[in-house]
Amino acid sequence: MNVDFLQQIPLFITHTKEEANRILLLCRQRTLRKGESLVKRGQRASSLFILEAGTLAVFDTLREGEVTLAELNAGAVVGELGLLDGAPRSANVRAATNCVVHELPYDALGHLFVSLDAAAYKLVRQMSLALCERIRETNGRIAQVAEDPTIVKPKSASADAAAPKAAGDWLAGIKRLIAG
Amino acid sequence: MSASAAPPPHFKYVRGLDSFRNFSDGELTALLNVMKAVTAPPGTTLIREGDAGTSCFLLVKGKVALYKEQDVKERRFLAHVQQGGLFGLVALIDGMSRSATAVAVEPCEMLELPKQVFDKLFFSGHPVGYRFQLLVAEALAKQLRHASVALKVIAQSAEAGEDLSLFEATRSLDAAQAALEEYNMTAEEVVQPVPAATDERGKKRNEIDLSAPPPKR
Repeated sequence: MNVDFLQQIPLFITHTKEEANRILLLCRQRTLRKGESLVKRGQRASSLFILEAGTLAVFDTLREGEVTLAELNAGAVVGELGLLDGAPRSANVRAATNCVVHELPYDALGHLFVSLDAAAYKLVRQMSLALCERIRETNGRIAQVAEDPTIVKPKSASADAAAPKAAGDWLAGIKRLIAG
Repeated sequence: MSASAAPPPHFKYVRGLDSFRNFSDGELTALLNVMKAVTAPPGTTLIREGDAGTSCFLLVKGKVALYKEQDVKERRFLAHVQQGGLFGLVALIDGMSRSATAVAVEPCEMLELPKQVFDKLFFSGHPVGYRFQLLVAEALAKQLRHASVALKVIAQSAEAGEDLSLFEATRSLDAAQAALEEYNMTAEEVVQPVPAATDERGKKRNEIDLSAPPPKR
């Protein structure tokens, strides 16, 4: 991963070359084979990941089985929320193809915070901006479901025979809602 | 600040909040000195969705409800802001109009921070600005976690075939929020997957039992 790549990612778009370089120095490159797990729901979060190449799948395990909530491509960042609230991982992520990711440990960023490095606080401000967008989206969806529960409710709940299709509709609904 | 100056209003309360842990006494005093103490009786609209953002608030006492009013048929409840919470941040950061309406549901005491001061702190390269930026990001992260849990709760209720009245939604959202705050639980712990064995038609399956002990961590 080079500085130019990092500077194109929204979280680092305000970083100067020097600041982006300081972030880059903290990253450890990892390669994932297709199918390999990156983070598991419930695990303690200790790093964020920047995807340089390949596709990652965010998935959830529901009654009906596994549902892919989102697919992430080059430039995506995973696990930044845990840096701010210390909560465990909220979703499962694994490589959908062979991937190259760069792991940025929270501890390393913590040192930048303590040393009052502008690179760390630019990241915080860009994260805030990204969080605002996600809060607006999520609140919009909450209102949307409250308005029209059929968005997620199976259309036909009368016959058991209809269940698989209804479950499929519902999964599609949930997928739209949660993954956006 | 001279040594003899009286601390600003609510200093003791805010000093005790975990979110302000990184501020020194002097920094906290300086911050509180530029905030305005405001009181509001229940029913007061503090922020109106769609308006321009001119300030944010720290809730010192009482409870505030957030609603979505635009692009919906009727006002939809989103979340409660509890004592110690910050609200009104989103529009100040992204520069767009207010994302939600905020209404006092109890007699409220707040500290109001004007946008001009917020901007100074949020874009500052000074240590106190940095501390403020972290505080804001942490507050937003918390708000997003709550909203994500709320979305899961009501989506699951809808899936279970319950008609989601505002009352029910409010109750389950509050339960989720309370569980998160009291027990520092994750979204996944609050919204338990529905076990197939109890999948009985017509049965309410997704109620959160707050009397149950929190899971061991």
